[in-house]
Amino acid sequence: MTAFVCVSRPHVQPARTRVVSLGFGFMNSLNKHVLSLLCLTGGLFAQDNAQPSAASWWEGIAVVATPAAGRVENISRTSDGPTRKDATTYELAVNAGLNRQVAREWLIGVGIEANTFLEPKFDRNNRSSFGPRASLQRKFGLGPLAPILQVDVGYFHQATRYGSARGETAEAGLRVGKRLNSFLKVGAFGRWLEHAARGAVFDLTQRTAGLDATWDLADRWSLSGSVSWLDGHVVTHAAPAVWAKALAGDLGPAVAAYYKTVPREVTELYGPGWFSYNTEARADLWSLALAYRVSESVAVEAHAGSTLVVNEVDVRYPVKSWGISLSSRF
Amino acid sequence: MRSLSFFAGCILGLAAPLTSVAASLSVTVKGTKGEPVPDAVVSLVPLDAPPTPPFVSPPVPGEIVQEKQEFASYVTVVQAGARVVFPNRDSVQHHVYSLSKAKKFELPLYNPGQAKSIVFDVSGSVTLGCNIHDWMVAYLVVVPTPYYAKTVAGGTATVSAPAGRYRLELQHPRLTAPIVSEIALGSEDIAREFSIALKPDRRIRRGPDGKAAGYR
Repeated sequence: MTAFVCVSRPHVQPARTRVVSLGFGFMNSLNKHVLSLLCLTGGLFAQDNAQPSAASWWEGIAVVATPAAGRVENISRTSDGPTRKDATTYELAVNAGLNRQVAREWLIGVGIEANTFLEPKFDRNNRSSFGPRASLQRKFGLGPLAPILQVDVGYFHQATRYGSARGETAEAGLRVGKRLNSFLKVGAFGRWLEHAARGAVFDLTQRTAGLDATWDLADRWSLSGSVSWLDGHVVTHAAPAVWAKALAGDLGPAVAAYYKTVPREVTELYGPGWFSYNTEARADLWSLALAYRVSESVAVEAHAGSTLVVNEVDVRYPVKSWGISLSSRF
Repeated sequence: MRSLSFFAGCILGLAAPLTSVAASLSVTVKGTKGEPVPDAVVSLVPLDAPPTPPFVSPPVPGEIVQEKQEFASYVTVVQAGARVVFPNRDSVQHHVYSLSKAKKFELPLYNPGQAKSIVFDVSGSVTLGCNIHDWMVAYLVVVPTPYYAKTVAGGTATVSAPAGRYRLELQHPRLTAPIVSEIALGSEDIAREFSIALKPDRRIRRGPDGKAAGYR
């Protein structure tokens, strides 16, 4: 699950470019629901804190910092092979979270997440995001084999180096997990993402469904993997010569007709004159991660992943990635 | 004054035989390949009724610490009626529970620095877990006697008890059932050796922690 997020986010959730008013009137329905749930979870914590307690409310906050470095083949999500761009990426994710048991079998968590993503070779794509996340978990019984249901929501502001690539993102997820035995856990998940950006090219609505599994190989080693399927908007990019050929019909009349209808603009994110455009697409994703626990609070992870985006006119954008990350809990 | 001295003398005279006849039982526990077995619990349950001397001291309290996302002790043994404290000396929250017949309980999520306690009245083996950290497991063995010991890394344990007849019970988390025999302690120390077949260790593998907190 974690590896899936690390690998897939840079690929299919591109830079965002439109600032949206924070007023409720301008927000879509999913955003409203996400914010409502975030407010609700805040209220539950306030109630918990109002009760007499020997412990201060901030006790139990866990801060996790995760620096990561990776290499991405076709980071530009380009269909034309010769013009594809590869890059090394760096990422730092920091989250602070707090869990409370609100009832028997029910756990609620709130936290703040901050994330910085750097592509030194194509630094117009550098971006940061910040916002709250809340989760509600139910474990159906006691013990390691009890199934777990989790709902989580998040709302993030994203700033990007590319001037208009800023916006607000709302996420919601649902996951059911079950440990099968002493070393194997499996899960199924669904995720929804809406991003309202300054420019229509970067507006996103995505739905993802997937399966994941974690195999604890030994006391300190685990292997995890996921497969998932995404449906929705994906931002892709093209060199100016390729874009001109596509519009001229050299890639077929269907492609030309379709590309004339999609939101597009010259962004120069991957070179002079490069276009970015928003397509309706499906994507198949898989990821694998091998993790090693260095100590109680530090773990390293090597991960690899692949994404194959296929848009409505059957144009394909394969992306591969691999990298390493270090997570440390404070 | 003379009567007080006489009374004190009588008390001492009665008590002296009770304390002077204590003997030690040395137990060595080995696996089927001759390897020492630590964490085996040896207890002596008096068969003479009433037990001589009677159990007059309150049971010694127990403590099961959580630190480094583990229970500090794999096996803890206490006398029935003992209070056991569960201090969280970790950097994360824990939710300690047991589904065992001898004591079903749960201590809802509590913070580092906090401690909760429970009285264990019924004899038996209590399997402990943390509902957040699946790999955390420990065993509390509750015995109906103050005469007990746990084998150390070398597989040895020594129990001292007054002379008399006892039911010797040997327990281990990986034994299918306790090994029971009868033993008579006299004025001299005795030794016993056990060779036991342990079930495979099916503990949950810990693996690296996820980045997310909560149930995993």
